[in-house]
Amino acid sequence: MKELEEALSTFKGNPHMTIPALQAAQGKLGYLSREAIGDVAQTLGITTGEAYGVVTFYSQFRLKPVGKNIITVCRGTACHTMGSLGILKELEKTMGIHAGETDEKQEFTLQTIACFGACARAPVTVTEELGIPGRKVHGYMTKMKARDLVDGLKEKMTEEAAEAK
Amino acid sequence: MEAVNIVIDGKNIKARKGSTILEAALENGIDIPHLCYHQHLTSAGVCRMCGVKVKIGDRWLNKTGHAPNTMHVSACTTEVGEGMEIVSDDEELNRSRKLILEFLLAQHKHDCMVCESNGVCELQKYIYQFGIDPKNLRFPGPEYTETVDESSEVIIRDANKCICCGRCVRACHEVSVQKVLNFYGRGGVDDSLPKIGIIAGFDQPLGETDCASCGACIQVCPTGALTEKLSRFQGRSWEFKKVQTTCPYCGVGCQLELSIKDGKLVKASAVEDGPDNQGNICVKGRFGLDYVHHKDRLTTPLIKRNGKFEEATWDQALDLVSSKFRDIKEKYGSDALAGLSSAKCSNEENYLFQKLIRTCFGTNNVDHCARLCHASTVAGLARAFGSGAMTNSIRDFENADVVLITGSNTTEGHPVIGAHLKHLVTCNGLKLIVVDPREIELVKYADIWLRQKNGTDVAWINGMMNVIINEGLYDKEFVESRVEDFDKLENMVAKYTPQKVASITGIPAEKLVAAARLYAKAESGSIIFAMGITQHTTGTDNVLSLANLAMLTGNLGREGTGVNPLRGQSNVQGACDMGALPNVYPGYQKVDDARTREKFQKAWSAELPSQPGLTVVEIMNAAGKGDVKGLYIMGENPMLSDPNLNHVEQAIKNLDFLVVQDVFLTETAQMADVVLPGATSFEKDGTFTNTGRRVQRFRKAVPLAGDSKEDWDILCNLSRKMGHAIDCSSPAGVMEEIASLTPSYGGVHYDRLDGDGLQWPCPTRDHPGTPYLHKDKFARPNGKGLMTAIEYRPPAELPDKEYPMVLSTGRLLQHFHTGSLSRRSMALDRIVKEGYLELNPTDAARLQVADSGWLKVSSRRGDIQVKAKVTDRVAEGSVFLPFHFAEAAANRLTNDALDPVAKIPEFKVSAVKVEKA
Ligand code: SF4
Ligand code: SF4
Ligand code: SF4
Ligand code: FES
Ligand code: FES
Repeated sequence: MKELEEALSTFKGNPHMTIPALQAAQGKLGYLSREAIGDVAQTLGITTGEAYGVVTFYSQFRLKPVGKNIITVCRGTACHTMGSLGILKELEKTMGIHAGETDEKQEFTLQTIACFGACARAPVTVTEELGIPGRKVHGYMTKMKARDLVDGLKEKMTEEAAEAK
Repeated sequence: MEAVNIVIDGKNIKARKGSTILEAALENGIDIPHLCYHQHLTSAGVCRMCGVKVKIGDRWLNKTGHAPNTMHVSACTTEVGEGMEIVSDDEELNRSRKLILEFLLAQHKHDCMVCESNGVCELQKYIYQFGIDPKNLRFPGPEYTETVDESSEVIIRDANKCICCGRCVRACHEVSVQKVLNFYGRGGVDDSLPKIGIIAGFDQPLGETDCASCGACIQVCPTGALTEKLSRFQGRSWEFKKVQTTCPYCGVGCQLELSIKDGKLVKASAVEDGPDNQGNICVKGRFGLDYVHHKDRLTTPLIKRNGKFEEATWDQALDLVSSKFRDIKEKYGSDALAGLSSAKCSNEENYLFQKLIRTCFGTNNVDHCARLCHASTVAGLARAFGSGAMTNSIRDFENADVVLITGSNTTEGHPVIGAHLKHLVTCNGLKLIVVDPREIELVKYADIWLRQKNGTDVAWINGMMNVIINEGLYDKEFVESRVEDFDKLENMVAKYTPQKVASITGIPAEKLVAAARLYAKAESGSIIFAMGITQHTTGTDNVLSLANLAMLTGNLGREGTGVNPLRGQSNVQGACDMGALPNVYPGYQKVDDARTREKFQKAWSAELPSQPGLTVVEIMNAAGKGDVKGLYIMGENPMLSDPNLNHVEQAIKNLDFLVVQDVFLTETAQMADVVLPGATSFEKDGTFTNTGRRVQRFRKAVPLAGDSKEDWDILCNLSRKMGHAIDCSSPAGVMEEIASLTPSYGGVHYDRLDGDGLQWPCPTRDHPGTPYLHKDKFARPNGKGLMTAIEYRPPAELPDKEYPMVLSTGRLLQHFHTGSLSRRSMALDRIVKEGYLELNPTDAARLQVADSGWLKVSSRRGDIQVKAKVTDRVAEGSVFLPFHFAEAAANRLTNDALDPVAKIPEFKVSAVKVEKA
């Protein structure tokens, strides 16, 4: 792939740099397509199988395109006890997608995590914007807050679109 | 052995230093349960079955340092230490083991009733041993939803039986080094954390990956997750008779364990402690043996009458053969007869064959196809060192820090050595220099690849020596004390500057210099070569040049060094050793030496001819001219293996009488007057000598096919009819005779061959054999190595206007020699059905031919049609053709120009024209 050539050039022939090379590719594309994994493997001089094994081992790597906003619902024990399943269901209903999926317009990706490490504020939901560092942790979630969260993000996107025009 | 004192379960043990607790236990008869450990793989410590408690002094070895309850140490990853006290078997440990087993079983499709691994499955063994009830598990298991992958021609993968021990992954990475199998995922259930498993390639069906079909993964899989496809439902583990034997294919001589049921060979696996293969075998050895029961097997003697074969009895056939040969001898003299022996037959049979030709026929016209592969090796190395064989051992490459490989596509020609080299590069830091016109697989593992023009080997070798001498990198002490004629060499190579060499060979000067330095600076540098070096009109020169290079750098007579020719067929080394050559008796004792001849005359009670006889190509030429009238061919197929086939065909047609003894009606046998059905190595006893000079047994495992006979038996019967009876009751007895007449085999006796065999020279009964040659002195009469100043000569035929491209021929991994065996193996034939011509993309574009498009290839000697394989493995202007396929016979094109010394033809360089067909 043309667009990866530059990002991967520093890793040429260096199989020890598998993870950084995959990160670089994902940074460029937002996810790792089969083609991208093939490119990484070829650049490093490892087999596609080896690269794919690493990709599927680490949860930081994504095999499907993600939306502009990534919403992560914590399903760890503390959050579960505090009703995170309900939060997840509510978000699924509002956005029309299931956990692990991205909507057609590629605006939202919904995913789960096993304990985010902020149990004191359970149930916890985290939002981040693709390509923008940092994420927002929303504690003490309720179903209503979940709906507001999605609405807020939608509004923000409309505003930004208008500004861009 | 350095020992470490440890105690396991109260038993005092002297453990091997550097071994793990598990190895120490197993080596001392204590069976600590284990699933992910395998003796030939690195320990991964993933199954935790081998958990033990370890105490040193009063400190427990675990995270806390206190008495463990569940914190166990894995025995397979923990090295033994002085004074360790180990508990391997108590209730607590076994409780964890049961827990592990129940977890595994919960996810495991235990259909033991139809499972191919029933009886040898290690999971099954422990489930039984720990008394676990599969119907009553504490954890509910999922549905078995994985589809069974049957895409490979030889392997079935059933992921539902996989326990994720990772042995197959490690075998694929460390043993065959194909890296096709990998772990996938990590214990999760949805897409963001995929369920753990093993994937092939890019999560593809195995048959669509780069899998080499070696079956190393099957060999190590503890369960029925990986099993042989073609032997499915052919027998249960306990029904098999197991027979250890030597692989009939290439010169590595891998030790195989055959599974025999009701007189049928069902499957084969690698012998874990086979001295040269160490648990590995290639696709041919594991899956390519079914030719033994092929329907085309010859089962009765055949006599040609009016152009058609008719079945005959042994008496009829042998009477005819002996009377015809006797008639020719009487009418035209002994030298009107000739014999071609076989690198596929045993040492004993080769011995008997040359004895029969020399005594009954009364001629030295005996040769075999080593002439076509390594005659130049024997001639060159005998001149330089006094002995014509591989100097070091097959497993000795692990002691080298640099290996220079030239003219050997090792991963296909000698796959188990090739895989071992890949392993040494990836796991041991071995440095590799590859010099080859083709971008062979090993190039990927090489530190330096030099791509020379075909047939310019003397030039680059001289160039390397030029650099080494100029930079003072040669081994002065070695050269002074152990070698002759250095000054001549020094003078001659002075003009082979890297620049001059670049203009001849096309190798950039700086690359040549880098390679020269790398090899010369190695502590132990080894050279490997094969037919890319030998099959030239300058074959002997090439070999002598490599010998020069090794002597110059002192890389001889030590572990990890040497000049190591890889011999092609299972017993091509042995056939040479046994004197199936026109100029020597067994053990390279010269026929024109009067004292030697006398010794053999006495031993064989016969008058022996004193003139050396004709070589393979010379025999064919003589037949063409009518000088040779009767030919006896045992187990060879010159109608495919010899150069310039159109010429060979005419020569054979011109014979008065041709006898072919073989296991199939080969292209040559079809032209015979009498065909004698011989036996495969699975149907008789004998020995092969592998490329590492190791004499190894092969053993009768199945009954003879129909009315066929062991080749040694046929030879004895024929000799009787010829009026000079050679008596032999068994191959073991023949070996006694060989030992008594052949100094290098003097200590070789059947009762000594059951373990690791013996590497010659092995002169006496108590001699342990010789892992490497030329330790303190060379085998030449004065003990010194001989350097020879050799100038570069171009190949006999160079591309020109009419025939503008260069053809070289060679082997494929999946096939062997003329294909008479491998193409009758169902698996091998399914994997590679037909031949092809490797063609560079630029040339393909110029010819406007796509992959698999039909081509016509012609040379001055003939033409063939073949499909194109477009690949940049070959350079522009060069093409490559495998020689296994009769319908696209490479040797219709090749040049029969000979090396003047060794009489080996130039298979590796012919000028050809390629057109769209
Ligand atoms: S057969 Fe050999 S190459 Fe193929 S997957 Fe198994 S170990 Fe790897
Ligand atoms: S396929 Fe066999 S060897 Fe490979 S991980 Fe599964 S059980 Fe182990
Ligand atoms: S063909 Fe050669 S490498 Fe393959 S199993 Fe047989 S002896 Fe070993
Ligand atoms: S369980 Fe949700 S943050 Fe720990
Ligand atoms: S055998 Fe030791 S952890 Fe598997």
